[in-house]
Amino acid sequence: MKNKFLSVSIALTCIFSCIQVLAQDKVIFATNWKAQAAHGGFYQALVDGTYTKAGLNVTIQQGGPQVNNRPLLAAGKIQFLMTGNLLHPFDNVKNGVPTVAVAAMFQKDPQALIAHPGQGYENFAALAKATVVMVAKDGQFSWWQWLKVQHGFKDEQLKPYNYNLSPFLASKTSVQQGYSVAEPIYIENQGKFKPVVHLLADHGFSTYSTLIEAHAEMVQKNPDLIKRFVDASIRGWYNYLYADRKAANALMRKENPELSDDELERSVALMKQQGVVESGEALDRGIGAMNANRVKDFYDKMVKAGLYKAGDVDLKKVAVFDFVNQSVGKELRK
Amino acid sequence: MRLNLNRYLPWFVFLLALLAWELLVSIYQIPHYILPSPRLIGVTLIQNFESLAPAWWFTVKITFGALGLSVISGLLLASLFVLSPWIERSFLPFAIILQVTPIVAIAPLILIYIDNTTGALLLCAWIVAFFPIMSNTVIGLRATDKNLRDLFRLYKASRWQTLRLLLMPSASPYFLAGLKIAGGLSLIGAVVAEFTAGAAGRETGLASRILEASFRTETPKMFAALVLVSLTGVAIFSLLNQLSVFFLEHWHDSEI
Amino acid sequence: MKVDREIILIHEVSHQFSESIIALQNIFLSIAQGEFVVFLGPSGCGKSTLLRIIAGLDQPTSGFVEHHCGQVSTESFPIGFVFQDPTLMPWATVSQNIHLPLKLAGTSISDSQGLIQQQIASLGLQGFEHAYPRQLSGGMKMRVSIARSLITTPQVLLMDEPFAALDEITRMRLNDDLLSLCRKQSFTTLFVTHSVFEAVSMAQKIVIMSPRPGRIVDVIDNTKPTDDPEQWRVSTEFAKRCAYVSHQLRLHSLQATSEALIQ
Repeated sequence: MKNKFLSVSIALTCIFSCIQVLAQDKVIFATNWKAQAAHGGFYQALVDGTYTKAGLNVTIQQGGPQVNNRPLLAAGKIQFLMTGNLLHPFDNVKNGVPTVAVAAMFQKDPQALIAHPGQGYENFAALAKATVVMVAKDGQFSWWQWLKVQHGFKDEQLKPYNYNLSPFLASKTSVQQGYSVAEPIYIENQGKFKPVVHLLADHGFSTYSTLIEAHAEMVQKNPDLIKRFVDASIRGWYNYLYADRKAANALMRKENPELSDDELERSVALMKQQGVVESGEALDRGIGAMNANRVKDFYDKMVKAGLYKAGDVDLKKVAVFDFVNQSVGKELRK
Repeated sequence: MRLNLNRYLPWFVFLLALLAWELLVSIYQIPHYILPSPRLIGVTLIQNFESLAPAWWFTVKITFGALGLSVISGLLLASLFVLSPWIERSFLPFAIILQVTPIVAIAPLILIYIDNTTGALLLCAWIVAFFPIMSNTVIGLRATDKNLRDLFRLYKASRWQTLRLLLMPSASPYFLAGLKIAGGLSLIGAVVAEFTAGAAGRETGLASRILEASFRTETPKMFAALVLVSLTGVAIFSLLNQLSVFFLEHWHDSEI
Repeated sequence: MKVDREIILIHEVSHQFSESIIALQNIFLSIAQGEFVVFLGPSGCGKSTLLRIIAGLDQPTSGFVEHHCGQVSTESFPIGFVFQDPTLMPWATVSQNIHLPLKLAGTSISDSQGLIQQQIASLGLQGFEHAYPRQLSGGMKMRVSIARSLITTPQVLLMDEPFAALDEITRMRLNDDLLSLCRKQSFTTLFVTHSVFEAVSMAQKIVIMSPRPGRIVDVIDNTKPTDDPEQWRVSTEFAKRCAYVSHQLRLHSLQATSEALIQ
């Protein structure tokens, strides 16, 4: 009797899993850099089964210094795209490209400029006079434009950043880009000194970050898929920050062998300390929270800075707020 | 009438292809951010000409600068190699290594080591373009008629006279063939190198514009910049072809 | 017999390409000024090698060649050489090709116009001054080559089977033109051929050579009863001479073959 029960249970489980697998939606999510702790929540949702439980078969496609995943979303080759700031969605809407932001995992943009100590760069204004500022392509065509008009940086300073710290470590007067929660740790490990870090967010760059973009058509035709992906991602972030993240870290190390466990852990600590993921409205309404006022406020700042003209961008098309602000996953917070 | 058809046939076919493209885009309602129509590309090109033109000029400057450097260094090295087998055996491996290592791999390194971005781009484009000129000229110099060489020796010609009056004219068809190849390659080198760099430095070329348009999903603008790159390539090819005809049409089989 | 002023002495010249290939063995020959000497022999007998050694293009492995060319003015060069190939610079015009030896000596083309015109006239190249070699027939190209070799008014003209690649008619015409040039300008001519007919038509002296190893096997005096080449060629004496020379040639080549077999 017991044996029969066991075999039937096993059979049913197998069938159920098969159905689940068959029923799963294939999703490709492309990021904008090589795997790092700032992508942790997504990898967490992948390894701990959160995506699977939501009926999603997710592949995370890394970006990188030489990679540009942006055109893939509009072309329908990927389902979701990570972007580091609101400037990219603004550009898309301005150019009539039908993509839309559906969630903002970071309340604070950790984009920063990093310099050597003792060179006078403790003062942010001094950075604009540095001979060399190393910025990767994604940044060159987004926030660098803002730095030029708002803070007087010049194209003559610009050099490409290819995810290689050597040029920065070798030249004391040089400045390079980085995430405040990542590069300073690597620099401390490799260069054995604590670098000076200036968050762009502290100087007027008040954008959301690590946004999830989707195709406007999917918002119309398959909003359920978006909701599932966003919810699972939010849960993934809670779990990454507060639960056991060893497996997620291991996966990220596999994707990007240059990472070490120690660096990843310190990165998470900094994310918590700087309130990158959880601050402001995310504390009330959960990770991923967005509101239209802040989007408009940031757009106005960019208009004032001269990056856009008022009316260039129809803000209604930039983001939809139906998929967030519902305190999903808050119970996972510890 | 027949003569006219021959001359204008390529243009005719080209226009047909453009028309087919335009029709394809409108029939299948292909969005502009996936495949823009030729008309849209043309309009975008005109609208953005003010910002694309300086980039175009920069790319042209790098291309011709690299080509010029390749000609000088290619001729010099070829002459050295022919004059001294020792020098050839010592330095040919380096030349080959430079030739076969993909520029996409070398370019980031060069950009790290060389401060001046324009200089780095010139170097990258030069690396790609100089080998065909050098190797073709070496072959050409060696292909000199043996009897003519004996004749020059008979009349006690100096080494310089032999080089100037015999070896160089003999090598000119081969050199010009190498030049035609190098022309296209210097454009490729300039564009690929800049692709790796992104928009670094004050002056930037068409590759940066293409990258920028790609990151900001301004697909018609990307195509417009690509059109300019292609036009430049065609212009270079045509120019070098004319040069070759000018120097060779009265005596060399290849251009008669 | 009293020998006219000797202009070239080939003294015990031997030339070896390698251990087994002996191109020339112990060549001894004296050539007088103004003579028309024809070197006749089958392929491999070393006649081209000998010519190149006389010209100074190659050095013999043993022996030497003495030139007694007297006063050499700045414009005259003792030796002219005509290859089997016209060997023209294809990128230069007829005038520029003819001018080459003077150019290498440092004289500009404008200063050389007189001499160039002279050569063009004597070789029948009027109207082709600005033509390029690819526009010329084989015979014309050979005329240009001869003109070039004569522009420095050489004392000795060396010709290595120059008309071998041409058709019969062109060949005969060039033979005759060459002979009249020789008479007018009285230079010494050393002419290599493997045609008995050509040798007997033109030579004053025929040097028969034999291969393996290359050596002179006979020197035949080819005094002609008449200066008119046409008349000479149709005379019975001509036919007899040709027969004799052919016979000598065959005799020595048979000897050579048997010697080679024995070795």
